[in-house]
Amino acid sequence: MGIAFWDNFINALFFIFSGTLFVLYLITAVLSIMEVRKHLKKSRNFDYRTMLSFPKLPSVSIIAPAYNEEKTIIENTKCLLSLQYLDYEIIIVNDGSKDNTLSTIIEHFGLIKVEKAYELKIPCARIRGIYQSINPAYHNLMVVDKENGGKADALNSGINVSQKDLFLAIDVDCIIEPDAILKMVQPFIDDPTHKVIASGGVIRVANSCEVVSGNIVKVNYPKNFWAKFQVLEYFRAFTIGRMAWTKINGLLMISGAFGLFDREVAVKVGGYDKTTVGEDLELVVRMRKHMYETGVKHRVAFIPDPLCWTEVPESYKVLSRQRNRWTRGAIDTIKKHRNMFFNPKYGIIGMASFPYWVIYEWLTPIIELLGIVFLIVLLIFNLYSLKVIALVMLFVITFSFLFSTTAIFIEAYTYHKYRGIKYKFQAFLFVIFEMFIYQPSNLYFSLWGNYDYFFKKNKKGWGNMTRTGFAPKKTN
Amino acid sequence: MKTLRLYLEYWGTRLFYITVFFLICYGSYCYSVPEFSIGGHVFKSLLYHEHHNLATWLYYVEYFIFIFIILALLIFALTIYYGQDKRRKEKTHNRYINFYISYLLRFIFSKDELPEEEIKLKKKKLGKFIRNDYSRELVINTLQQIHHQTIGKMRSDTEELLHELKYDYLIRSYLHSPYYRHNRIALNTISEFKIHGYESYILRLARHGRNKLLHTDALVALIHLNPSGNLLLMIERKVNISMWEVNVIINNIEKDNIKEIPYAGLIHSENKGMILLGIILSRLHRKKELKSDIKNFIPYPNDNISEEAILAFGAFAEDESDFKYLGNAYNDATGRGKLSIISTITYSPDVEYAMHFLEWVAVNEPIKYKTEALKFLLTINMERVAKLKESEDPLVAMACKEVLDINL
Repeated sequence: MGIAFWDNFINALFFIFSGTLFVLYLITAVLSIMEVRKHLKKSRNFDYRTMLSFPKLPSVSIIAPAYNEEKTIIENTKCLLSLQYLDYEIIIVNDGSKDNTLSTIIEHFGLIKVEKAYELKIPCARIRGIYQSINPAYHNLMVVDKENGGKADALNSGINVSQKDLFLAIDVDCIIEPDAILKMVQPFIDDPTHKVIASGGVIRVANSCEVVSGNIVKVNYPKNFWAKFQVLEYFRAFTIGRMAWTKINGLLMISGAFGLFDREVAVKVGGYDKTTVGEDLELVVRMRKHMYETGVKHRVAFIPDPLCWTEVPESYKVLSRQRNRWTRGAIDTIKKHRNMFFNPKYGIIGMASFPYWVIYEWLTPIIELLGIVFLIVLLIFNLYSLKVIALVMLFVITFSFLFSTTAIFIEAYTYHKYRGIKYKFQAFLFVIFEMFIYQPSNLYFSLWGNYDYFFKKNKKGWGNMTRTGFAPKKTN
Repeated sequence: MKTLRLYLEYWGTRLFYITVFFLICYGSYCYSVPEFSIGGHVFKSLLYHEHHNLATWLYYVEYFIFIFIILALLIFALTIYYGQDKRRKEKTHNRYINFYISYLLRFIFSKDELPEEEIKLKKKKLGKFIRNDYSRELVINTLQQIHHQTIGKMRSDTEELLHELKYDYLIRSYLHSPYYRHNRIALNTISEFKIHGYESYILRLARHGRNKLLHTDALVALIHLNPSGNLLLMIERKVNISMWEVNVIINNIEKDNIKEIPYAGLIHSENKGMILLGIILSRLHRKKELKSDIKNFIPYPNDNISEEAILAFGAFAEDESDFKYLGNAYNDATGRGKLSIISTITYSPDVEYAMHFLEWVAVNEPIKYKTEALKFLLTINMERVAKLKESEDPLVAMACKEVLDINL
């Protein structure tokens, strides 16, 4: 077997990989457009407030782990207190903060230590005390003070204390739309054939947005260079990617910053896994695995409405840490549940979603790197003409360009949160920049995550996320 | 004619997209060959460039690069257009709505004081404003809102105005339109103004409609048109209704204070949704005579029906035997059912039985039910709660502390 054989063989491999990826992206775009259209048709003609009269509306606990959040905790708690829902409680879990998070919240909302009965169904670090307000306006606010154990541990203690049907896991610094719970709960009461075990919603970038009393009053396109790219990335990931997987009931990812779960199922599978940094992905995979093993017809729903706003990293360093962590989390989950890979026992998850995660989420950066090396080798040894390589590269770039532009269009056509011509031109410009700056950076972060996981054995490190806080509304 | 136009518009746009898609695909073929034939005629490809000297598949690649760029630019242009268009539409919509609301309200309010001539003139003027379907939809919506929120003379004036404006043809064509939005407008109008004559078509929508919201609207319209007759018809035709639809129907029945309901027919139907509707309505309208029928649904395989049966039976429970029956049903009940039983048994005439039951729940059941039972036990006998506080089971003690802490 000579060089020609290997050249052809590797060529064929890359073509199969790129070809299937290209087809998958096309299918994804079509499926997501279908699902978004279906949802819009329904939601534009449906007044969600009518749900408030529904007697069987499930009760919800909002669990928000807080670690050193003294500066933002009051505003964010106020935002949670103003949500439109009847039977809900807010559980702020102070995960052993080193600053004054606990005293700030106690003082502001007039909380007192109470006796509260709970069962430790999921192991978690010691709970030091539970606080509730004597002010009836805050009757549904509860603060759990516990020893530090990490985000997953804090969420587990929140699940233990909660006694509601569903729990909404959120990052305390997120801004939630007032009707978010109503929209997220709807799939739970709407599907007579499947048990809905979780539902997620679209997360949008809140950097540079104007916030008053924990509510977004004006949506601005971020001023920061890195945040601008992430707006586009979030459009693609949420509007196109997740909607398409929802259409075929193959969704595996509900963001840790904003996800509603069936408490009973989550408790049955043992809650969040404290040994991984990708606890959000891992929990959904475990819950779905459990449902397949017990033979229950189930579904993970996703709402394409922008329901949650979060601050994204604004510096290259913080961004690299976040993406590194996401990569490690994905690898860890894949490794833990590797028996699902092309396993027909797990239905669409085993045969499509999980293999997709393995091949196109985990391995893509590695294959991309190998592809680049291979191309260089081909050029050096003059095995392919520069024209052919340039054409193929241009094909990939223009397709990616079209894909991102479509995501911007879907946003403008559906929810139209970002307004103004200036934003549209900027976004279009950043679609072009993205291919040459942001995507190579992301490739680098993912590769670094792989290196950290396999060679440095750094599986649990979170890294710090520096937040700049939200821009206040300008006053005259 | 109007319905035909709507169908042409609906299929025309779809046909246009399909044609564009096939043209793009065919274009890729034309670009990769020097000539092609259609129906025996050979055409020279204008797109083919021989000087490229590329492998055939690369022609496709080159072609699609071109198509992607064109599409991306087109989509970008559309993004800007839609953004602007949306703003414009929002403004126009608000302007129109404000105008129609104020005009119609002023007209209906002052109708009795105006001479016949002026009323005619005003109606004519209104007709002039309403030139397109969009305006008509807004007027219909406005009239619906006024009709919904008013009573007496004003309400009947609104009905009169709707008929005088001769919207019947529009409602008929909208009901048969391929657009879901139109169907909803028609159904809501029929429902609000009780326009008869469309029942059989609406019943068809309720039986076979694939769209959930449309299905719900069709059910509501049927209930509004003829509650008793249409409910019986729905039972007979085995129309499926979901839990959500049961709730919507109940809200409408309560709002309109409808009392002619075939309670027994609903409870004894084969359809789970109908049974549920029957049980809930019997409870809300205090139909005590159906107590024994409802009792049969407590041990039922459907959770919703079982829960509602517990709630209704609990509301009608009088004798000690009723409360004991509920107590015996506790173990097989769902979570909500258990909570209903706990609260109901508290009111048992046999206080000792009630206390014994609540104590049993507090000791043996999970924490959620423990605290609930203790809360009710506290209202009957505080000493028993205080005694349980000393329990060796830390969970029982903890639950007692919580209840005492909150309530005292």
